[in-house]
Amino acid sequence: MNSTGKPSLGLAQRALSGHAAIGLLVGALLYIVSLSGTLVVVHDRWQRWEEPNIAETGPTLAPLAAQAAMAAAMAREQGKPRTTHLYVRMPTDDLPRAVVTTDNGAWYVDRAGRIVAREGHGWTEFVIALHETLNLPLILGLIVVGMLGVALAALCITGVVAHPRIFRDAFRLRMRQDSRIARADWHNRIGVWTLPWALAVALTGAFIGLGSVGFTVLASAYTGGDLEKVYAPIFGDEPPADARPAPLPNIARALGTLAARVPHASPTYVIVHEPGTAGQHVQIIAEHPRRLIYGETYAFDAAGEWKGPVGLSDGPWGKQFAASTYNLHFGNFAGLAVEIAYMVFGLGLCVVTSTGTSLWLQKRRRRGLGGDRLAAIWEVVIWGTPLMIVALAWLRALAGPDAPFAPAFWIALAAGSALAAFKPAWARGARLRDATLWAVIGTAACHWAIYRPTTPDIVAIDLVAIALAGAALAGTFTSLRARRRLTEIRRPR
Amino acid sequence: MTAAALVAIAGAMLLVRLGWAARRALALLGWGVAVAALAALGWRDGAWGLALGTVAGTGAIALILLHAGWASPTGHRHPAREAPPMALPWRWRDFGRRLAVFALVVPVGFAAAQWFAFGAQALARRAGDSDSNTTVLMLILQPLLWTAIMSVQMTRSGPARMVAAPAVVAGAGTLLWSLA
Repeated sequence: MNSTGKPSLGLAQRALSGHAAIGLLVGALLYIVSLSGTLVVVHDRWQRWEEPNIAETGPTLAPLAAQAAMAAAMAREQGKPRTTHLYVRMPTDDLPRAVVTTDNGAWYVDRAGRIVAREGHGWTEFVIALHETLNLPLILGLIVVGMLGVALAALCITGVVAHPRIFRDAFRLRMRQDSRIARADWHNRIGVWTLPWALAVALTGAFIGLGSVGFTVLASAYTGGDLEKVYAPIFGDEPPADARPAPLPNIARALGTLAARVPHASPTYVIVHEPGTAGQHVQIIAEHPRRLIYGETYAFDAAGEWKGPVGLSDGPWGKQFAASTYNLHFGNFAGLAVEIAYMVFGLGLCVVTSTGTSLWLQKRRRRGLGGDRLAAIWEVVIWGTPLMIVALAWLRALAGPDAPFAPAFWIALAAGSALAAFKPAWARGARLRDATLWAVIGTAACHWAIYRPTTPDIVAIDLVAIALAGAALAGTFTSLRARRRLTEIRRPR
Repeated sequence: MTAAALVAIAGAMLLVRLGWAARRALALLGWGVAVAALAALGWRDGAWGLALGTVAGTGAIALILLHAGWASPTGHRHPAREAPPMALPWRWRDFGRRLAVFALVVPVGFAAAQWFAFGAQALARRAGDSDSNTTVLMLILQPLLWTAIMSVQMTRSGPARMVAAPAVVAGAGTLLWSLA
């Protein structure tokens, strides 16, 4: 007996209670972050899908073309606030388009480095921001999402403690039973087998998200609040600024030097700090094959002279660890196969998150505690989130890349939840699910018909979306028919 | 060799499935092969190899699970059981308890983990480790410790019993900081 006179609960029961409490507190946000994260794994491909008719450069850009791209972008900066950084995103297999970005805008460039179009992937950026910050201001959003990472890791641990038989039944998946049994099996089976992956993703997400708090603490303790000095030991330092005008740096030479010195490295970004000033300097981030790090950062001066690597690839373990967390989290370290695997596991996490709260709601109803309104709101979160993301793709098509995606998403989700609370019968899960699946099919078909993309990778997205959503619809239809037949057989004549 | 190790891991997961709850030796063999293949990947390709091997193993299990679901027999579906509706009385004490749990698990747990991580970082710095290592040590420890604190707290039966975990961690952090 405990101090309140109630019988003491065992460890498993207490863990289950704690597991449910964390799930209820963060379930909805965790689901939204999981679903958007599943999409973000292939964000480069979504960018191509969103803007299918941009001429692509192929997987490489010549050093002289990169130089020309920088000059062309800086020529467009006349009369605008001085940019502090300029980025040339080098084309890759995932995104064979070169992009040059300043503080004032971003443009696609062709193989010669000429600007061909404005980069306008507002929908893709919205989905990325939804995952990384829940569309909150950057630092606050990173911290909130980082906290969700910790909550997910704690859910993994309490989930295992709460289910002593979880490993014994690890292959038992009764998906054609009562919805309660099927949901519990999906929740527990996917939960236990994706445990290593979920912990890795949760803790790397927490590391990335909560890092800003740690850096701020260190800056307060050691550098008088100067964050740059705290970042420097890991990501490299910046020379002092000198605002006097100067010719643009020689990034073509820097790229040539890198190719000669580190031939196995593939440049992904050229970053010019304080371009057009005497204090400018150049960094090139380059991927290394068969490494978990996002790349090594190589420093050059304005003349393109080699200054050396920061040490992310071969420096102290701290640098290598920090540089490895991003690819481990986002799954972009070994090509499309691993990206697809991450998307499958991400969908699994969505299933675990959604079934967890659904099970709690079912249990509540069995006990006579009601919960119709809560259940309806939950259905809106589960199916309304993907439905809204699809609807926003239409907003992008109709209103352009500057449409207010984030306000539209959150207002619609809030309105849908309010409607579900007011009239739970309107928010039936099956209806919302079918609407979402038909929306996916319709959007992919229209995308294909309207834009007529010729690039196989873009066509593949439409075809895969139609195939998966069609299979899901066929599966639910077949299941419904089997259930009806079973009911007819059992009905007394 | 990488491809062979990945195939071995996928095959090992199949052995684990075949031996699960029946032929234990087969399952143990599967785990053994998986660990050996992961070790080979780690030895050859470091963290990249380990990550790739883990993804391959999890992917193989996902396929096996999907097959288990596909092959599962149709069972009896019972109408949803619902108890007569009842309303629990609203009590301010319950609200206060939930608020206390939230405060102990979120801000207090966060701060305790942060303080320990800072103390560990200070001690490592004092011992002469590089700035990059000590910084990353702190950034890693914070979420790890907060996860551990939260997990322990959420298996306690009430707010009063949730104080110990962050208190112990914060105390240990103070000890590390004072040693630095």
